[in-house]
Amino acid sequence: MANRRRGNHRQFLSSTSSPTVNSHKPSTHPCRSHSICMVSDFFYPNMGGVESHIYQLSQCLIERGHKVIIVTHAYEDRKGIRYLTNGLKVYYLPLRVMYNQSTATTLFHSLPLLRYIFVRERVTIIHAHSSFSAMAHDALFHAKTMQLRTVFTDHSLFGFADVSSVLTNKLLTVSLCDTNHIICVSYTSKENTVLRAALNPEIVSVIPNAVDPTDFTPDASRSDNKTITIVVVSRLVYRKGIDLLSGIIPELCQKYPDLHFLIGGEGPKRIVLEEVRERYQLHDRVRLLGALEHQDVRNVLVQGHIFLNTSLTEAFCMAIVEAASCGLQVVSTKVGGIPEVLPDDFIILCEPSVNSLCSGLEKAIIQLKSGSLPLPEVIHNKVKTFYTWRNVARRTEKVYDRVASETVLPMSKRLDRLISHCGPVTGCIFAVLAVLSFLFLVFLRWMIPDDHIDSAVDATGLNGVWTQQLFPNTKKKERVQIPRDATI
Amino acid sequence: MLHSRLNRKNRNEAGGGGGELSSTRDSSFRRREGPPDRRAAGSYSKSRSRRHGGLCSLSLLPRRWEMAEEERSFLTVSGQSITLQRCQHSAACREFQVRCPRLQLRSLSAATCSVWLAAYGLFVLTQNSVVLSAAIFVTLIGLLVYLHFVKIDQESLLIVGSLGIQMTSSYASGKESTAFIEMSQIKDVVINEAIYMQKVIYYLCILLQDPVEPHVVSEVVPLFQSSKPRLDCLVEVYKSCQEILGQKKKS
Repeated sequence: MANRRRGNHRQFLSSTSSPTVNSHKPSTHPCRSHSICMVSDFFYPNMGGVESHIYQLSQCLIERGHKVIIVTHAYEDRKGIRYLTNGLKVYYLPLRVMYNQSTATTLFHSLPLLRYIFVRERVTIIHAHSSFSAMAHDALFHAKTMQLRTVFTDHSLFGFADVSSVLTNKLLTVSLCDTNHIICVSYTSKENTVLRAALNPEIVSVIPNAVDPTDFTPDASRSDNKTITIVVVSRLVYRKGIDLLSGIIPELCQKYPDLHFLIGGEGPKRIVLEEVRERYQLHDRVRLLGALEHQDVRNVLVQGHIFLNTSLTEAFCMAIVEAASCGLQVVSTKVGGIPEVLPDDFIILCEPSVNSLCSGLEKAIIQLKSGSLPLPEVIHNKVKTFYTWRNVARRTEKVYDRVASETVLPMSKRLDRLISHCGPVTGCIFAVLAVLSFLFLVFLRWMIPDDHIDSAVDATGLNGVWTQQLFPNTKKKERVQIPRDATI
Repeated sequence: MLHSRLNRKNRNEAGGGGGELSSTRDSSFRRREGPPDRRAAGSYSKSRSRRHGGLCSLSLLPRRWEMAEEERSFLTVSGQSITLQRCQHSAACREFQVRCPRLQLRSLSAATCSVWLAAYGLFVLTQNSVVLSAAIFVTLIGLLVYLHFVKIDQESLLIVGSLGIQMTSSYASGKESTAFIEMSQIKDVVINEAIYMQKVIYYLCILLQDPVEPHVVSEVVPLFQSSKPRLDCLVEVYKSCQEILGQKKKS
């Protein structure tokens, strides 16, 4: 019966999914269904790249027949358990937030709750996201103590020189030295992570991010060809190269009287741009839009012709893919993983300096005026095949399959690895902590044995009950009714 | 005392409730005219002596035939064993009782001993006999408060299709607290999940309808709050409740 239900489920999915997204149809028989727990401090209602990555990846994995749950910390009044689209279950745990939406890490206090969740959901693979998330590292640590398989996705690049990055790199070394597999978003990011955490490159895979191409479509009717508009959408912070932007604006505005700038985003560097606007009297040509909601980004992008990205460091730049998907010519700095992202005919790469960026922009303006640029629709149709979430999910699934066939390091080998891999002092400290956490786990298992924990009713995966309401014939419907949005 | 309780219930129902109830009793009586189940009858008399009040003692009909009872044991989320007793008064009237284990002599003596040993230690240090008498009072008052306000021996849920749902919890001291929810207020009975004390548990709850907007859930009333049975027990109760609510919706 389970098989029949799966079949129906697939039919339903393929009939409703929009044809534009459908570049890779899910295979009819997944070789193996995993039970995956995504852990990160960053999830909706917080907005950002990691959040949407987790959400979209989970949705596509559910579509491929896996069971996925997400564990994050509580956001103000949003605590407890919620179900999102297609039965994606999210645990908002009541843990204290310390800094920048990241929880405090003690390596112990979250063990009881996380263990309870891992046991009741029969989780087989823990997938932690973002190296800034303390909860993700905690979960990795506990999962290894509980002999579960672990995967980690790194979303950001780090330096090597300053004190803070030396410390974080050390922690990352400890956290990743016995993790089964690591995923990076670009080859540059892989290189960076391998160096920072002193990893074996063979256990690091590269799976890029993706964009939802249906959200970013070109709109030919809106752009008028008399003026040329350059769009910048980024947080206005140092890392995004806003100082470069403030050098570019006056230079190009002097040269091209029909040039306009449209800048979306908010941040501490906004004052720099306002100064430039004030000094050169460019109020009518430089528009600062302030913070943008994610759904408004597309409407801002389609108002322009050229997209400018001035980032100083970037693991994988989502913004330029989004802009290219809207049919804009992209001019960007040649840093981090950016050169890997788009083929050469969609992007003009420059050195991160004002002169180089100006010449790059001039080249784009000349191309635009001569009409030698491809049409927005043509760019969109090409870009939408590059990065799709279904593709990302397919590749992530391969990582899961590989991890599932590996063995988890037993305690003795884990201690050896920690001591030999992380330096004598740090290694010994964390080896002691690992032993303590193991003893704590033994205590918890004595207090509440695993068989006293109810296994949760699966909403997704092989025995998922979420789709039951579509098929009134199946008898399992009576099992348990899951309230959609009621939480305590 | 019993009568005043029932009168209060009837007033709650804004009249006519009592009559409706006895009519459902009548029909059940007629339907069950065959020979009564021996096992059921035996356990019935046992439970009768325990019950103190509630809607089901209203009827004057011969009670021996009207109920089908069964008792099963389950576990709570913390691993204690509880018994769920289900008795079916009629097609649209069921009662569930969850009985927790009684206060154990072991835990009582352990608590008393620890308080007194601590007090004796203090007494040795301070040489002040007030400590000892304080310890005695603390133990006594603590025990009284615990039995009267904390320790719940039995929680019962009576669901009558035409009236509503009555929840009773009996404390170890014999105190009972009862709450009643009218059927018109009840939107649904569901099983929900919550994070509770480093655990994630399932619990049964009643969703109350907002009187102004019938689609909005105005309140969630959790059931079996002190015993916290595990999912298999909750599913049992849930199914029965859904049967009765379903009958009501059909009519």
